[in-house]
Amino acid sequence: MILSLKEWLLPKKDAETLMSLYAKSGKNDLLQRLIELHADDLYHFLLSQSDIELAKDISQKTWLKVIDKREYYQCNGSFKAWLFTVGRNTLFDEMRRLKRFQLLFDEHIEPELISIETLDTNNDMQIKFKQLLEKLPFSQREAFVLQQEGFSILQIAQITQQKEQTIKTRLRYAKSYFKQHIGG
Amino acid sequence: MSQPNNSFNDKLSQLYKNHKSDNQLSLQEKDKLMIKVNKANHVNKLNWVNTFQISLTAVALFTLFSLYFNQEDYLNSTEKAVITSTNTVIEIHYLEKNSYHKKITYAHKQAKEQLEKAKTTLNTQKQLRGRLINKADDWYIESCNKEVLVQVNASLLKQLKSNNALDNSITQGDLLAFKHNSAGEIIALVKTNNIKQCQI
Repeated sequence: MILSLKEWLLPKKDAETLMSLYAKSGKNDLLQRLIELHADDLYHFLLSQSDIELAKDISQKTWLKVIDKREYYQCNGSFKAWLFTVGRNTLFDEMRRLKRFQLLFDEHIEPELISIETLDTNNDMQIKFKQLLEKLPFSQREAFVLQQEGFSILQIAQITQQKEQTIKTRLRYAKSYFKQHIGG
Repeated sequence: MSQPNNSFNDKLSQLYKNHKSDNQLSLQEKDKLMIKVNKANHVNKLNWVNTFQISLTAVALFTLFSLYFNQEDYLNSTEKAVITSTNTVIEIHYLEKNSYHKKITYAHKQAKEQLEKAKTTLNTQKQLRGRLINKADDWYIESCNKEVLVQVNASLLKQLKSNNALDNSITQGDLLAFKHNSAGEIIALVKTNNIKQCQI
């Protein structure tokens, strides 16, 4: 009863509607609902590309940018895609500042060329997956995580500012890498 | 072919979901993030409000100053009008916080001119004051500084009497004051009892 009343008072809105309303009003409760919806997604994406401390820091900076740049949000696009684009750019800026950018972004590395170390004898598939994900080249990991977050090839290409074909290739390499080590 | 692929994709997605759920922000971290972001949002909103308030204050101040200076101009123009008139003192009566105030402004230039005029008049009056030293048919009046002796003929005395411009109670030794018209003619003789006026 109380739940239905709450839903009646606060009807469920998608992120795009919430962001459009927030862009106009700047109301805290709308921003809070957006954070509740996507804070974990963003944090996990950033964590997969960096480390815990940097991911927390960039996550916070990204939400602060959402506040600052809310007027620039385009109502016709996906909020999550916009949020991830802002987050990715913020992460890259920070990496450039920390001079970690070149180390992470090596386009020439392909799964076949990676020296695949013998993973821990631990058979726990989850741990194995974690280790494999960490070993995956940055650009492939990025494309893989974005796809797992529900973005289409086109959206991934827009977020990463790459050609769709490039994204397809990266995904193919990533999947083949996982298939090789986890099995079908 | 596609069935094993789908099964692999599902397996990969499940592994990813598990990995994601293992690597989320803790509740405390999320609260911390919320607090920081809310604070920033509040400041951001405040900045907008502040900008608006500052603009509003600036406009209000500008309006007040404009009104004040317009008022000043109005007062100045009034003052100019007053200065051109014969008044030398401007009194402004007004109420402020239910209290009566009176502001007096002296038109110094006018006052100075008035003073000079008064001094000249006083000197003239001094010159036109004297003691009646002989009262016969004609009257002889000696000026206070004893430099001038004025003789007033009986004919004039008669005319003055008929015009009620001659004091009946004048006796010899009295201090008298002359009244002249613009042409310098005596139009009245007035007895003045203030003996000190002759000693100034």
